Amino acid sequence: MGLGDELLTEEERAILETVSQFRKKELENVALEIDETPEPEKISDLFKSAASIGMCSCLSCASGGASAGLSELTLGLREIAYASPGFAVLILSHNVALLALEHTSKDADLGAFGRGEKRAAFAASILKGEGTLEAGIVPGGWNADVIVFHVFDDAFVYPVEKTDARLKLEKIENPLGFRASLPARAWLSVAQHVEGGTEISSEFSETLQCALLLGLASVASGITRRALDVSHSYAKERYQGGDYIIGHEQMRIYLAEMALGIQISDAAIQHAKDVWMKRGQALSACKAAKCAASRFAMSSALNGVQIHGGYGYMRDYGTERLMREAKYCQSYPKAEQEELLDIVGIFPERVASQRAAGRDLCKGGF
Amino acid sequence: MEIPSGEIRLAGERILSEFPMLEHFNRSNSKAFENIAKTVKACADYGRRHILPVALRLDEKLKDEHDYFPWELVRAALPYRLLSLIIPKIVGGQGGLAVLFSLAMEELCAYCPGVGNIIGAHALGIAPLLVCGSITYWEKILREIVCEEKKGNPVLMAAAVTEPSAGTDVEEPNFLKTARLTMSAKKVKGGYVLNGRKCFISNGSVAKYIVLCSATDKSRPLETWTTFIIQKGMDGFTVPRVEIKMGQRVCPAAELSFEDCFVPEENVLSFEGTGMQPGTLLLLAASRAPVGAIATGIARGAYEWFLRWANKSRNGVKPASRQRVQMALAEMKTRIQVSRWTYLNAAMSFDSSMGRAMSSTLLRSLGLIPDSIRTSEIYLNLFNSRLGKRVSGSILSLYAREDEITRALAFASLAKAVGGDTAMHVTSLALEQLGSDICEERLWIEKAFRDAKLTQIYEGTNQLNMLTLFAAEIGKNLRVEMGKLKERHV
Repeated sequence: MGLGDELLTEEERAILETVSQFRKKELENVALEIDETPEPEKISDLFKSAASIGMCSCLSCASGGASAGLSELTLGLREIAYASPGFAVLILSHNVALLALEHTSKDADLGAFGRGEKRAAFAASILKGEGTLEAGIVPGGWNADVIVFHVFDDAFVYPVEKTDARLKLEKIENPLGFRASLPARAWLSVAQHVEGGTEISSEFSETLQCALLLGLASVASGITRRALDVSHSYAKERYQGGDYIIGHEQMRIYLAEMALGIQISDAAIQHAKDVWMKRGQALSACKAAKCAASRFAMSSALNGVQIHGGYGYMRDYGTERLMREAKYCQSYPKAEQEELLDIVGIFPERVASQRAAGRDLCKGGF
Repeated sequence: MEIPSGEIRLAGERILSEFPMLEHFNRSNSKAFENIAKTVKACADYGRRHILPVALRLDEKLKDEHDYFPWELVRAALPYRLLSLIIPKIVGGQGGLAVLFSLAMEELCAYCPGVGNIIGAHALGIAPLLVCGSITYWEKILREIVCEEKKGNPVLMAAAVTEPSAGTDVEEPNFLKTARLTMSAKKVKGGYVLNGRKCFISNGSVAKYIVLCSATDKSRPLETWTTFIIQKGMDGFTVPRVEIKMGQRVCPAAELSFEDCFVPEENVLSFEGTGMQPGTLLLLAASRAPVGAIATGIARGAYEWFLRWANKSRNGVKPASRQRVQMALAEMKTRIQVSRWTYLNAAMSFDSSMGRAMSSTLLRSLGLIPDSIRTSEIYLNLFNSRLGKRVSGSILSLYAREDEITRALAFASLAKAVGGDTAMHVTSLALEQLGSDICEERLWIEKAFRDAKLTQIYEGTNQLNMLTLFAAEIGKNLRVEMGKLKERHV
């Protein structure tokens, strides 16, 4: 149980405890290694272990409904990201892709994906010209069995097997962040825009986007928590300037800002979850949660490195990793400024629709 | 390497267009300005021809082979005379001071801050010899660096101050009093015996000479902080570890270990106990502006790659046509320009005091003495004697007054902090704008982002630099400042 977890339900506490055990027993001791040299076999073994506690089918229909699924996704990813944000993003990408697969191929047996025997990856894409879908960063893309391409707000998803001749993959060598997710750059040639695609509703496109953004917000929250904990520990041990670091006011302010970041990130994530459960649509809330949480993750990681001084910059101490991962949280799947513009773009529509419905705008919230 | 005069003139025009503050240099001392233009041009040529083609590959290689050192790249710098930029002319160097060196750093670091830091750390090792006025070591070490540079053999230097349990503490007098030091220098007959460790020492594993600070009495560190010259290969001195860094990987950060390492008396710079005041403080006043310039160079490099990205068409649209990208570019440009002003202001402040000392008649007249005499044992022993050290120390303090150095240190600390924050902000902003676009420019900007963070940490964390600024500029004059405010408010 950590900061801000006081109001968790029994069910949520149980989820957190289960994932926490996985993190401590299996992930913590290899987290640095899979960031530095992410061996596909190692990642596969971890993935299967994560599947055994239900983390690879959080949003699946069989997992107990959307409410439990969302909590699993957000709390589980947060806990995994505490040790390895890259691996958490791999799990997230798989879950979003699996959600799309379940929705579009209802009769297919997807049990192997939930058990961790097969892996899926979600490719947030852009349409390049008329003939190609392109995804700059596909977490989990390099070793996935199936990649699901989707251009947000478009009416199609494109699930493709790894062996599909239309698919082109390029391993991203030594990216700044998300290394443990074995990310790839991916292209899918579709002679015509709709070829090989499965039609989906705009609501489902929004659902996919919400899941991805909420998951990223949770990963970011995990980074902030880690930054606070390691910095706090170090500040209590390291003597500098005539006192332990924690005795210096400015350092305590940095730590307090991290704690503030956790509270606000969690509140934003919870708000987005609530909106999603009540209304079924929560895109602006999910975007806001992702932007807020990733900003705090970034500033916390930067201050975390600063508190550690020279040691924070060295690989062996693990703090610099948080800074690199946080940056990718901020800029994936697209530029933060684009997300902000989207939020603003959605807002006037909501205002207009609420006005049309005669609702009191002041009571509705955002 | 001879640079055609036309190219020097063009480089000078470019510098003046970007640094209008330097116009007075051009007017008052056109020769000095020409030297600056020549140096910046040399750095740009070296960067384009030698650093640019290998920087990314080297960074990648060093991720796994962190104790590899690119000697071939350092050798390629020798024709450009980059190892003798701040070495006085009387021993054959370029005679540059903080302004020249800062501009050189910005230029190099726009290509690769790791390579820039090799040159920077080397200069950091040279600087104590200059600011302590150690004429003997000018002749012994600096002359060797120049001679070997001309022959194509790089001789590198380093400065070792940070200790495993004392980083910030050893860069500030008040903090040093309570520092938990692990390194000690015990006085013995004919010299000192060093024991302990230094860490994160840039160039530490490749330098031939290392200027090292240690207390001779750990219970009175401030009063006994002393500067020694260590030579590679001394008995008891080893380099057990080279760190694996997030960025600036080309420049090795090494741990240095000393076990009963005997250092002869004549290897003490100035006198025992002068390591912090004036030693380290003078050194920081000299070096923090160039660190601000290193950071500015990183920001400029990231800006230039980002500009290139913004002008490439994607799906028929150039990112630069988007207002958010235009605003980001404008913000980057603004921050870089502000950062330049602050480091240049600090460098000029330092040069105005130390520059007078370095160009004093007395020091220049030493250059008239024939080399055969200046390299003789009698001459070297004279300047390394107590009397010789006192005389050279007096000359320096005559020109470089304490209040001027304090002010220069305050400006330098400001420049360093502003530069570090600029580098982080600009690289971070550029990456945010890129989103998920994987492209060549991204590789450079990601590298710059990793490189940038170190500029907020080394040479004293930015927080320490802010405290130094407060102490030197605000705290010291608090009563006076408050008095002025009172008058204005009444």
